[in-house]
Amino acid sequence: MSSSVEAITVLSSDGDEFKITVSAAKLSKPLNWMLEDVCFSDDCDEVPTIEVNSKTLVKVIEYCEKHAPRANSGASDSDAEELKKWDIEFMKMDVKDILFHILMAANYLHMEGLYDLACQTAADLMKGMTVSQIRKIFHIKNDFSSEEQEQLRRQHPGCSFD
Amino acid sequence: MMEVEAGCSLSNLPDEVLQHIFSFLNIRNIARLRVLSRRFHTLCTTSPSLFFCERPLNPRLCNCSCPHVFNFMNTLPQHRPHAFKINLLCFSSYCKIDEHRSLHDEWINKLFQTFQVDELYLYYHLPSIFKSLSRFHSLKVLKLKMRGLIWVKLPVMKLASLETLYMQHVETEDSVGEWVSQSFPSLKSLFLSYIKVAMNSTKELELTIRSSCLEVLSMDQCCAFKVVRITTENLRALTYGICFPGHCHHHYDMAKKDDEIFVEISAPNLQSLFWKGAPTRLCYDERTFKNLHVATITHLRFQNLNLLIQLFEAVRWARLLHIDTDMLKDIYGKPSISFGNVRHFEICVYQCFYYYNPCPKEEDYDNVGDVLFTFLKRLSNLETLTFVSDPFHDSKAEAKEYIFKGAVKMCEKRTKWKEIRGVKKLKFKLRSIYHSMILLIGMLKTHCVELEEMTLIYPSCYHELIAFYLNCLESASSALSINCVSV
Repeated sequence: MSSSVEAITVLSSDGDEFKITVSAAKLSKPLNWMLEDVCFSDDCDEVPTIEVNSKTLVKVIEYCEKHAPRANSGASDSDAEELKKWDIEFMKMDVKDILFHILMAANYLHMEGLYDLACQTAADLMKGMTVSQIRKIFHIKNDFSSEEQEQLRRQHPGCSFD
Repeated sequence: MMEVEAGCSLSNLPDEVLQHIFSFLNIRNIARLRVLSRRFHTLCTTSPSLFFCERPLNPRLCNCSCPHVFNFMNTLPQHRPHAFKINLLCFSSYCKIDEHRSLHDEWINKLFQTFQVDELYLYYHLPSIFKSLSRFHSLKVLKLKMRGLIWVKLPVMKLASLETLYMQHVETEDSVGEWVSQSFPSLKSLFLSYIKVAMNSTKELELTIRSSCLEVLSMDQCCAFKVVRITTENLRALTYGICFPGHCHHHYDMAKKDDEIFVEISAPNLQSLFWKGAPTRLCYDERTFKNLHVATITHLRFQNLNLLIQLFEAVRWARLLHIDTDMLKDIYGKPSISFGNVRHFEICVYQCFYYYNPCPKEEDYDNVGDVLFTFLKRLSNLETLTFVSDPFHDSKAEAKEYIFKGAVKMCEKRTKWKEIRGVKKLKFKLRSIYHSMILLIGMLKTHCVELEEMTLIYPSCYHELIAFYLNCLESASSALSINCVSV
């Protein structure tokens, strides 16, 4: 890989092109491997596809670009604090509808920081909800038979089903 | 409720992702999720992180979650007959019901056989744990909190995998230091608090830490020992505290105990030191503070100032917190101290006898002013200056304003010495807002001629008030950047 390349182009699963800086791409192990294997220069025809849809990839790249400077150079406490705040804001923005995709993407791209952040967000969402709310928001189908449900109720009298 | 596309169901996530989500939840929350669906039922009962905690309730209330936990455990073997790996096992109980307690022993012994555990937190009085520990071959982190009355025996074992050990509320006749260094040869971090020894023990009350791999050591409330020896080649961070912060009347009882303790340190690679209180009998070899970077000293209260002087000559970051004014007067009286290395300085004072003398006199503030002046003059390479308010929650209003009133006095009196050179950043950590503080900010703005940045950290409820005052200041002068952080 030539050192002059600063940004690479990748395709989302919807076929849109995205630019991502090399330092940001390094946050993801698979992308890092790609960087080492493939020649990313302007005259190179090959544009790698990432199995993540455009809407999610925008967020993932935003996260990478924000976290890249710190991951590559190491940073002071104040930076870490600021990043934490940024993370919280990042997860606040209408993220609920794409949280699922972010979880999948972070897992697929082996991005530890984002993966932890997304899992934490999902866990925090679950904490404040009733069982039926969780089912509704995360689209989980109640597939217990009525007998099984009755048995669970008997076994765990403390648990609420709704 | 927002719309989610079909196919985005959490049920479609792989096991590992869901289990990672569970690791951010506690037992109550995970247990609730079992009833979501069949898949969740299986997952929740085989989760790799298990938290068996009750909420930190008042121990006297018999609010016990044991039946819940036992039910949960009973479902386990059906799903995974073989031993499996879990990252974190946390069990905490204040349960006082005898029938349950006998079950706990049995149940925890069953856990040892069933699981391979990386982290084990046991906030529970269970002396038999020490016999079983060596069976956890992969254990990396162990936290023990054993509030109880029975002395525990510490049998020597070999657990080479353990890297971090927390021991709290452990009472024993055995030598804790020896036990730790013999049993856990790879230990990197050790946290000891409320370690007690039998008072009528015939053995010498000595705590010797000699684990050679140790990088982080914290000792707190271990005041039963007469001698503490810390000899560790690789130690990077040391926290040492005996006295109990926050209660002055306790302070003086503790002071007596502190004075009886002999502390000896030899740690040539020490980089960070947090010292709470200080015994008069401290002994350290000449290599010990050479690599020190950060020193935080709180509740300083001792006659000989050699430790403070040596620390301040060595460090770049110095934090002097909860220092009483009499102490400061002593420092003031030693003109030979120079703190040329200190770049960042944080200070918080209280009036030593405010319990007995609730109304500070004008001269008290003058004293603080004098001391601050001397300090600032000697900190010749200072870049960041931080004032911290309110040493204690329960202190009186006058005491809370102490540092600010003193500093205002300093600025008022030193008309000849108007410039505080070098200081580029000014910080205020506040718990509430005082008139004197606002005065001080205004004064320092003019005195610190090289000031580039000012940061105010304050409770969010004062947001409007701060904004108002800052507006007034802003109109007064300068292109200084002011950051406000509400917490």
